[in-house]
Amino acid sequence: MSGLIERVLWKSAAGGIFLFLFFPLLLVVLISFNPDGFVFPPSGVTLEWYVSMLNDSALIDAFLLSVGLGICTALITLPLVILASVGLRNEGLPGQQYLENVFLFPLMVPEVVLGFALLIYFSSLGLTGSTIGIVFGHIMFTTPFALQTILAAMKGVDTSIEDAAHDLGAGSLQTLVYVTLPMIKPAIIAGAGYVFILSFTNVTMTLFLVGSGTVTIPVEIYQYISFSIDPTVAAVGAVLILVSTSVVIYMDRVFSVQEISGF
Amino acid sequence: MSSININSVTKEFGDLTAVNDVSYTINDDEFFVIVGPSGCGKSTSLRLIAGFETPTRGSISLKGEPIDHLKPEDRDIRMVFQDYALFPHMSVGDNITFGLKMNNVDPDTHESRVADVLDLVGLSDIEESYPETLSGGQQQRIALARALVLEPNVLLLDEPLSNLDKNLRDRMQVELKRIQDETGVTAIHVTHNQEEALSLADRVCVMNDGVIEQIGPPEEVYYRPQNRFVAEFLGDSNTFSATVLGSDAGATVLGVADSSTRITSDATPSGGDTQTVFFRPEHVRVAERVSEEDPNTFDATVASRLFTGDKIKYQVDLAEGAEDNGLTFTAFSDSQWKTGQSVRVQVPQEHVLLL
Amino acid sequence: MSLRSYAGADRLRSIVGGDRSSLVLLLPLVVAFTVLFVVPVGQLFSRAFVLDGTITLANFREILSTELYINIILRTIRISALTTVITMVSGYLLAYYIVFRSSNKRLLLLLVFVTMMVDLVIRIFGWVVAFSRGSILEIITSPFVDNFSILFSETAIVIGLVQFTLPFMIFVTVGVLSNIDNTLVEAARDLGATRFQAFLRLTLPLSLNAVIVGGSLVFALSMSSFVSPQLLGGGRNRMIANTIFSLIGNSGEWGIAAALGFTLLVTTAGILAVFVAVVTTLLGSDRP
Repeated sequence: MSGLIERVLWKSAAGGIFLFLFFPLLLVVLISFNPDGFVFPPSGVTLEWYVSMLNDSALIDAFLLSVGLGICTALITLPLVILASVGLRNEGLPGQQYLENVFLFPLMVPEVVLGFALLIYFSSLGLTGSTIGIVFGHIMFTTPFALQTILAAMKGVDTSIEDAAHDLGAGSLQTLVYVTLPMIKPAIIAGAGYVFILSFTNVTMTLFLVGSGTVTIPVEIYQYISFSIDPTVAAVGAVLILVSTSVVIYMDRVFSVQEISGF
Repeated sequence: MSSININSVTKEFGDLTAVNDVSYTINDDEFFVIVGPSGCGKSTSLRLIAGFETPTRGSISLKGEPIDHLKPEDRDIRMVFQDYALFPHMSVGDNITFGLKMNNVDPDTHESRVADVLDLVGLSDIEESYPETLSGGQQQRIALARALVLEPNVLLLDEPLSNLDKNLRDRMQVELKRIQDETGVTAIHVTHNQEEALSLADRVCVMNDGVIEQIGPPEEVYYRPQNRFVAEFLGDSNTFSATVLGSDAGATVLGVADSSTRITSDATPSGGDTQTVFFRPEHVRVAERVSEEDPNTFDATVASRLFTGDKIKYQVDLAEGAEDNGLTFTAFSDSQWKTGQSVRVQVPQEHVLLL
Repeated sequence: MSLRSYAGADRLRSIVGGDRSSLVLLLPLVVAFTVLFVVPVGQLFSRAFVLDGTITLANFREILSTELYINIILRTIRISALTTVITMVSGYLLAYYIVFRSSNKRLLLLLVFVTMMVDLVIRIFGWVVAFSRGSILEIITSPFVDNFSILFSETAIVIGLVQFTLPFMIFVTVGVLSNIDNTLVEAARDLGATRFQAFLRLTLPLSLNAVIVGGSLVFALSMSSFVSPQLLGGGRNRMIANTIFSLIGNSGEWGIAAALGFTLLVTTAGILAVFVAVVTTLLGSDRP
């Protein structure tokens, strides 16, 4: 097999798989500008679906709620995780490694089960359909992801630099605040972005947690798709694609994507 | 007056004994160098003094006061780390003022102190730069400045010159001596490089496997080592096991390599008939013809030659005694000898030591 | 200052600040974890095993005796298995390309990450559109296919699931492949192996744990997936997750839903745990 053919085959295979991954995204964006809706080929370009989207108060409300939820979740989860990481990292106890893994358990539970469990739980507390309930659910869901990122970053901090801080007179708290945390700032920012997106795009679990007054944008879209076929959804989709992509690109500037995903 | 006292200190890590019941004193304003091979306990000793480890047994005191219960931040002992450990997210200026802030030094004095200490280490106008933009030598000097700005009692240096190339290292050695001299700080320097130890130290402490082999001024440990380890660790050496055969005109006669070769020494043997004979290569005379009357004269063949720039090192195989007795001397010589050439070597009695 | 205090102080020194404060730091997370995870899941389990106040396996028995549920379970396994095979192969392929054949690994990984971070609903919506009448896919395949009715079929679900799980497989595999020392391959080729032989005898075995862990991850994700089957499968192609969802409308059926949930949890967690354990014991303790 000549080198050229090999290279072409590789490029086509990779390109094909990439195309597969992006195909639905491209389609959604295309449709959002298509006056004929889902029918191909498009007869022109239009912004009517975007206008319709902006006029739909339910959609706008859901979008704002999702943004607020994402920020809230990030603001609560990050400090929680940072504190825990400091504790986990310095622990001299023998069970430490298991403790780390325990906090990863929610990852192993299917989202349906998580959502359902929370539904049962909240119904006994009277929190069904409440915003607080959704925040709680999102905190619980995103914590393992954030923990991966932050803990790994903390472990990567050169201990001799922290020793140097101590040597120069800094106590433990001072070292943490002035040296350790600033050094993992990229991880914190990336972790926050990650948590935001995970919360913003969560569907399955959130489905169990929403109520009539509190709907997140992914759930709203889901309901639109299930019950009606309206290209306005495509406009919403295109906007969300833009939001997600921007957050990811911003995160990438600060932190390598491979490390975030925890793999 | 003594500055640091190490009293019967032992440090164990589980099954491993890193430091084994050592006691010594480091004097005020002294440049004290601890040298030894990897794993000898020198870095552990430094960390014990700094406070990052606590002795398993024994105690350490500073100016008469025990300091074992003090955390690193509470000791007036500052350290320069091997990889400098500069704070990457802070500028040079912030790195240096960090210690000042942590110790609540009057903020009005910060600026002048930083300027003074940068001047001391020979760098200026880089307060705004960040560590990653600096060269190794510059980083090292900043690490030094950061520790010195606090005017500590004792300065610890953990192999600070290991990462530098030879020229830079030589220059920094001179700088270190100068700075220590100017500030009068007690310096404890740890290195595995014996040349560095000899050139920097007021006193050298040779460690091996957790114990102290010898402490003394450089010339003393180099020319009068107390045991075989010190003899062989510092510089090139000629050491051979020998048996005392008797004495002759006030000099001890010893047999080397099955007693087939005899060496005479001015030294008096102590502790039995088995001794180690020792002499430095620079004391071995190599010539085509050497007067027969001089003691310790041997026939030899040049086995190898190594040009090191400042001197030529020869390995010469002795032809004396039984064939293939395997005795090889290391010698320095200014003259040019070729491998395979037959020569005569001679070692003056007074330079043959018994360990 | 007794000698005993030295030993104790030494161990404590390794804990932040020389005191027990670090344990306190874990407290908020532990509390949150217990309240928001342990308790709810525990309640779920109790719903699964409790009926009318007594501990019983009645719920599980009902599931196993109803043909409907059995079909759903079998369908879920079937679809998941197919998805896993497709995703493992294509994921490994793309990961290999990214690590060894591409010039801009970071950019490509970023692109994959972007797809992962776009709402799954939107991605599946894209496929719904692709499979509906009048779409570009119908036009492209019209010469070959008479009746374009992919939507609401198992095929559609599989495609949606591959979309969902592929990025995970890619990341796991890229992680492992990146850790393989390329000089090993160079050494092999220097000794006479062709590219393919080096791959077969070196790279593949060394990356086996990626394949296994990635595959089990994909399988677990597929088994528990909700969105893809819900939107692409239609009422006749339900998987376990959809069934649970449809049962919650009627609180009388929560017991069965809980039992299904429990089964699903145990199966997926079990698969993951077993495979990870197998991999770590067989191939050393490298976390992929």
